[in-house]
Amino acid sequence: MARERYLKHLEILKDSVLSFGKIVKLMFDDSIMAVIDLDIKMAEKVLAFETEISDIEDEIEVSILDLLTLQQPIASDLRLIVSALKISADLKRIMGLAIDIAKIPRKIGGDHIIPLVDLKKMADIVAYMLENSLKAFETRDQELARVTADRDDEVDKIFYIIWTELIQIMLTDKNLIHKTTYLLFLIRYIERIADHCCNVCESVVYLDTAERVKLN
Amino acid sequence: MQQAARVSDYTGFFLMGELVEFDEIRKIFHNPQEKLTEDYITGRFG
Repeated sequence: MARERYLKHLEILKDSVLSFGKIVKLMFDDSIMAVIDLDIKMAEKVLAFETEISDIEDEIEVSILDLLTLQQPIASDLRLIVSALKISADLKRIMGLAIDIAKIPRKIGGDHIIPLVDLKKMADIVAYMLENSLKAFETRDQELARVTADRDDEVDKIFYIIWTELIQIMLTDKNLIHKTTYLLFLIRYIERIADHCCNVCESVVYLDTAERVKLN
Repeated sequence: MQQAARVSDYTGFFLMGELVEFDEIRKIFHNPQEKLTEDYITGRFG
């Protein structure tokens, strides 16, 4: 087959983005577990991932620059490269937010002021969105990408329910403002991760169809 | 092939005397509708 090395190079790029995604998903899951259980050890495990990830990020960037410079890709190959670049930027932002989440348990201390049932529900939907947006990238499945992005509405709905509840707590008891503020940050971080998952889904639709869409 | 992309408005891909695809240059090089065209312009055969 012609251009065997080039095709292998494209496969490696795709695998690197997926590996990056798997680590980011793990970081998100662990950060949520750490914040729900107020588990400082688990939170530190998440923070330790940051250094490991910089190698994969570098690998993706170098790979993209080589492909663009040496192979002049076009059509679906170029779309794969553009998508890989955009998705890795979104994954980097998700990683940053997972790190922000992992910093919360140490700041809250003591016990939670409310049961985090709705927050867990919200985080479960976002975990689903993260996993399936990456799966859609792996299989170039624009249908799965669209279905996945649709779940952002549920996340926004839960976000406003918790938001209202937390504001009420602040108005009722000034002593709880400190802890409540961190929970407000927390739901904001989770909601932002859902938005980045939508961006990943948009990149998948572009990869699969060459169509540029807005999904959130 | 890149020169064709730079200088023309439309392009056609012929294979063994048959016209496989004809369209605006942007469509052919960005998102061709025929797999044969895609495989040719991305260098999967030539």
